[in-house]
Amino acid sequence: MLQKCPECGQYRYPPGETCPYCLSSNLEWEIVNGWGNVFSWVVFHQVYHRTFADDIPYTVVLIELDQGVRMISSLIDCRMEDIRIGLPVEVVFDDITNEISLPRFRPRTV
Amino acid sequence: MGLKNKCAITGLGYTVQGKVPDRSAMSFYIEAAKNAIADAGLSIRDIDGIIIQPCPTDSRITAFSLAQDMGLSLRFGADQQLQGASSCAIIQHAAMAVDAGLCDYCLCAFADTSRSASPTTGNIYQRAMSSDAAYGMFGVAASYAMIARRYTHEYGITSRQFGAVSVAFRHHASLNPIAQMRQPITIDDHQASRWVVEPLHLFDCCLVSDGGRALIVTSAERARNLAKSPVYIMGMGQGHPLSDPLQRKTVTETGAIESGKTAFSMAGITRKDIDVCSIYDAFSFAVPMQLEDLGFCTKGEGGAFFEDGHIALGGALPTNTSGGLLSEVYIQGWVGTHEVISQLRGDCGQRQVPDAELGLVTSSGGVLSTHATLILRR
Ligand SMILES: [Zn+2]
Repeated sequence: MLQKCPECGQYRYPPGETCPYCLSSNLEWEIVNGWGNVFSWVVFHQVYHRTFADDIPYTVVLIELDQGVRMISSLIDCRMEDIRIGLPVEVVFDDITNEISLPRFRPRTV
Repeated sequence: MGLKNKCAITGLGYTVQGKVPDRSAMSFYIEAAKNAIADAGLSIRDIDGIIIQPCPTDSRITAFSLAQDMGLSLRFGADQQLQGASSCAIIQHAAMAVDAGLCDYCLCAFADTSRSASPTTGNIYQRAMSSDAAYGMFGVAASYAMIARRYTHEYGITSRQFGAVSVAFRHHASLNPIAQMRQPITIDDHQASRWVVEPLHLFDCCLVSDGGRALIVTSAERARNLAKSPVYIMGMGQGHPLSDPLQRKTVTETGAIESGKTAFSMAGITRKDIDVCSIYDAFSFAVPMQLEDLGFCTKGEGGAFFEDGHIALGGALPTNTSGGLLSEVYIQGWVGTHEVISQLRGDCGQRQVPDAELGLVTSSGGVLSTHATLILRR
């Protein structure tokens, strides 16, 4: 789901109270297809937080959704050497707990 | 036009810098202020305005708490937070206040103790910045690395070209007695340095330091009668595109486009007239990117510009001659302002640019989010 402004039609991410294009505060949620592509990506080699210490080196990706907004996420089912800018991806929801699931992405096959 | 040549910078204040444990941030603000006042040949009571850049490690410090500790009553005061861009922006604000008659001698100051403060929890530049931490996204370097990857992708700039920046600035630092890192490096050393967040090597990343800086802005007239020769403010500008650079349409252009345009237009000079330059170098690749945006070379040519030696001492545009944030010290935008002002005064010893008359400083805050530019002349 992405926030969308019904007044000017723009999407926004991360979610906020106001549309940055027309300052409407009347934002609605819209279910989107979860498709996008890799806009940029990095590999963490230094431990910034011990939770991720065992994952080093790990990648973090910046995904540009088809709706134009970009989000930080991670890529699954993809070898590091296969990551490239422009790689088409689709969302997968990773259930961390019963309440919280994190959107991650995997290469799109269709 | 505007404030051209109406105000000047006098009085530069430095402190001990680098790794300086057991010092409070306030003590650095005061040491820097005291040295700036002495350098200008003023007395403490002459200071009637203060603008500070807030301290990253001690949010209690304000212009007014500094005035309190210095025993000063002020006619003008402000805290101004544009992160790395604060130095140039604060000098602009001080010039406006002086020109408007709100104060006569405006002290501008900053201090940081990030090198020695809270080493167990990691310094503030490495913390989570948002819920993106759920994906392992921490610290400032990673956001810069996202932009660096796009820069290599869009313009074919290489990691070795990033390295040319680090090598040149380390050479400059080797000629600077107060620099933290004075051992020269080669491109191969740069390539062999460990990855921090790929595509950034350790030698692409700035230092983390303790220390403070201060300077005094006054009218051009008053500055002429002080201890040191004045450095005049010829042009100024700011540019602040969307503060989250990762959401901008293009992530490889910065607010330096706008800040540079405004500053050059006020100064009425061209890029070719600049003798010495300072560009905010929190990360190596951001230097060619901002030089392109300031119009010193065309977009995508910045990397080659460095390899050709243009920005080294002896080149056409000596840049970050103190060693910059990569090799001198990390006291944010104040490293650049102080070095260019020292160059225009002719105080740089072994690394002096002969006969430097016109200088440019651009500083940048956040993740290439805020930009402020000054054009200065002796
Ligand atoms: Zn709208």
